[in-house]
Amino acid sequence: MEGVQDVGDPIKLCQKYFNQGADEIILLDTVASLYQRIELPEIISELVKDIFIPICAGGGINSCQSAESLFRAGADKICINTSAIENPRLLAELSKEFGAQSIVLQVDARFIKGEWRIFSNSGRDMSAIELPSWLGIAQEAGVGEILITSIEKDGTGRGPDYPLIEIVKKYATVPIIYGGGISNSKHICAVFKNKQINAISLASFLHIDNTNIINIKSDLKNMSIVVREEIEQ
Amino acid sequence: MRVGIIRSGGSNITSVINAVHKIGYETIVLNKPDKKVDLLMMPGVGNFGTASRRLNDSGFLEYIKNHVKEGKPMMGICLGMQLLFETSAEDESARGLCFYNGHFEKIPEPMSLDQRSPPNIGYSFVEFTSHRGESSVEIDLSYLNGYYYFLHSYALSTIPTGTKMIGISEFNSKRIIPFVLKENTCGIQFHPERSGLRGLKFLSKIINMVK
Repeated sequence: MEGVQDVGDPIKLCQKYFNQGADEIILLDTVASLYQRIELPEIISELVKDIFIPICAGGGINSCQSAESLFRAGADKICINTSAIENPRLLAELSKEFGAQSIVLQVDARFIKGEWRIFSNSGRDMSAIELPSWLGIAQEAGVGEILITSIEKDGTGRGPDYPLIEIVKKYATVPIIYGGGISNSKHICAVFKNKQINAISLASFLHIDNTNIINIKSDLKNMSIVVREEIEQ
Repeated sequence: MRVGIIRSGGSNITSVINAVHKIGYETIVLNKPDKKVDLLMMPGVGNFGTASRRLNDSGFLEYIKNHVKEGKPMMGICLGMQLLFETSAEDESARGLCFYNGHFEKIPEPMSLDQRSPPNIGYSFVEFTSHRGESSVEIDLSYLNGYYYFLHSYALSTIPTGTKMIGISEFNSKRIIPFVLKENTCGIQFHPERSGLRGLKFLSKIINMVK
């Protein structure tokens, strides 16, 4: 997850994706935990004036208060990684306070020396906990969804991490959002056809390759995948 | 027209306010039942029992009943829809506003691997159809049929009496009724304010129908 690029103004990008028919927007301040900052609430309050799809926000959430500032700004869900790993009890507190349906566990994972490991601080720090037991702990605490990213595939466009999807499917009972390595509609189709995967998150494929969501959905429809279509204007 | 949005129990109403602004109406947030409005909107997530007791204790229950009795429009969204009904399995000891007859049940657990665990989070297809109870006027809302965003654990499965329009959807192969409309009231289980441009179009149309 090194080699982060500036791809532009988040508000303009979100507006563009909303108009193209994105189903949900995930906004992550990827270096928030590292620099211990929270600037997302201001961005979200601007964003929600013109965007009418669910917004999931995360980065640097380390307490119920910091989560509340995102919900107050208009986020529908929050996602959390680093602070949950550092303090797993926080997940239960957040879930109790805001409801499991609004808490998304963000997991950055990689296969290392025969084990699936999880990472905090945008893939910088490897945790001692293995992926399967982490999924167990987090779901026990009450998370509503799991946003799983393959560190190995992220930003490469070399296709989804199928072994990772398999292992997450095996241990997850809540809906999964998969991200990492996707650079064409066939990749997305392949992931959806694995049942139980409800959603895919796209970043580079949209920001850098400048792919239009309208075209992706039209491809998927041709591959017999049900997609949400916007009403005609 | 002034749209009053009930804020009861700190729920997030920002997105509802923004959506109502977007379709061109003024809003006023009601923290207490102390202002007259033209259209009343009750959004909300949370527990049926807690919310209905809170409505009663805060005086909103009387306020809403009077508003509707005067023939003014009222819309309940998500938990707000459930509160327009009689009872919910979430708290059998509590009673809602009883504008509609019916009981909310927990949505079904998965019966097979390809089914989903509750809560229902995400887009589901809704089909709108007229239900000729008292009305003989055929209204066509089928152009609004499509995917809407849901976030709930309890749902209505029976069609209440006296409705003009209903919406039909499914969760784990079981029918649910996520939309009811009669005269000046309507209940919406899904989140039109989170359902893209279709959601805004739906909201705008429904406001026009009840107002």
